[in-house]
Amino acid sequence: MINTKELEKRWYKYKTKSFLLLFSIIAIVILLIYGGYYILYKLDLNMDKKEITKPTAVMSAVKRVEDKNITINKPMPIPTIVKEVIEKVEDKQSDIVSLSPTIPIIDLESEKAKDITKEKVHSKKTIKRKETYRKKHIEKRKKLIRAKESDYLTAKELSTKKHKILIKQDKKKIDFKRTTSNYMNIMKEKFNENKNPREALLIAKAYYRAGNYKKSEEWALKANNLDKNIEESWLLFAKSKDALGKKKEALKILIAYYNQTKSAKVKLLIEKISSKSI
Amino acid sequence: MRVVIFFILFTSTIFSSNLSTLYKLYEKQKYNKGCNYAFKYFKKNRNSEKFLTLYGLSCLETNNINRIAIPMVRLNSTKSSRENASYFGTILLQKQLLKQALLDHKELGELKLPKTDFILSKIFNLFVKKRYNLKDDIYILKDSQDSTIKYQLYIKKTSNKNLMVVDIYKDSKFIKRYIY
Repeated sequence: MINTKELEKRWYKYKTKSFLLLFSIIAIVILLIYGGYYILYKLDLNMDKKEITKPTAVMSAVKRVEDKNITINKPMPIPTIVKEVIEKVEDKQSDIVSLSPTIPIIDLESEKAKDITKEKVHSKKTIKRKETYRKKHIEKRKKLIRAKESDYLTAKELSTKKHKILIKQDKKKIDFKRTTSNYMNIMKEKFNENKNPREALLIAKAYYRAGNYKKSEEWALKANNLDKNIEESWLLFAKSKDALGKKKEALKILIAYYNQTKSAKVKLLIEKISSKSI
Repeated sequence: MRVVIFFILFTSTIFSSNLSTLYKLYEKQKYNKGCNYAFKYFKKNRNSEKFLTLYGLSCLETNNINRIAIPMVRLNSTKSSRENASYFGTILLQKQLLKQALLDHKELGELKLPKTDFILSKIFNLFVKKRYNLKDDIYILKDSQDSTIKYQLYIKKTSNKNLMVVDIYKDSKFIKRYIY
């Protein structure tokens, strides 16, 4: 006879074993997944352990004790080499860059493609804009009321007409007559009244310009007699002498005047006359 | 043919995007040019976070460090851009605090701010820890990681401004100067 009860027991045992195996496998898998996730994403490997275990309360207590001037065994002074080593270690621990920039990745090819599309859009837009502007302009022209054609001559016609008229017209000649004689008479009258050396010089200049060197010499001498300090009268006197062919006299007068005044103008004239004579 | 080539080159230079040109300038380490370029085209690209980041990064390497405040306040939408914003903000704050400490002798105490890899940040940390030698109003600081590098920090007074100057020396040879 088959023992059913025993068989049932064995079956239950088998079932529990298989269930436990399956459960443990599932549990391990879940644990592995969660562990991996935790290590990868949650756990901060760069976490400073000091900060966690920092006994802040104790530190504050120590500070309070120090404040109350209670003598505590002070630590030995740290040598400089050790200090440097500690600093370096501290730096290594604390100088971890916590902020750093993330430089954007720019795909230049795609940017180029974007530019080309932009360019196309831009050109299309400009063409459209131009077309709309042209249309509007034409419409505006249509709306405008045209003015009647004028009976007046155009600018071209007018210019040709004017030209013809100008050709036909006789050219009028204006006669310019010199009024030196009148001028001289007036000036002489004035000089006779005032006896001003300046007026005598003006008359001398006018004679010199007219080519009457004798008269210019005479009037320049008159001016010199009235005022010996007018340089121009001396120069004019010498010039008119030179023009009359009396170069030596002219030079003599000029040299004498130059020795007194050392004027540059006089020197120049002397050089001029002397070079002529050579 | 020549006309066509010229036309292509001309249009490519005119229509090349601001971002790509800025990126190229940044890559070539032409920070001053890049900073000015970004400053010029900021309005056009104010919504591009990449452009703003590069704007800030190139201005950071120049004397116009205050300009990084402009992209800083606009970097918001992504995680990396927010990180960059706080990076810029930290450096700017450290610079301001250093200037205050130098000019007004403000005690920085045990101030703890985020650390960055930027020179000014390094100087700030050294200054806070009082790891400096003061000579004729010049703070001489040694780099904590590279002993050959030294920094000189001082205030230069001009007629209008008080400028903070950072001189960097390597093997006692002058390398670079930042004027803020």
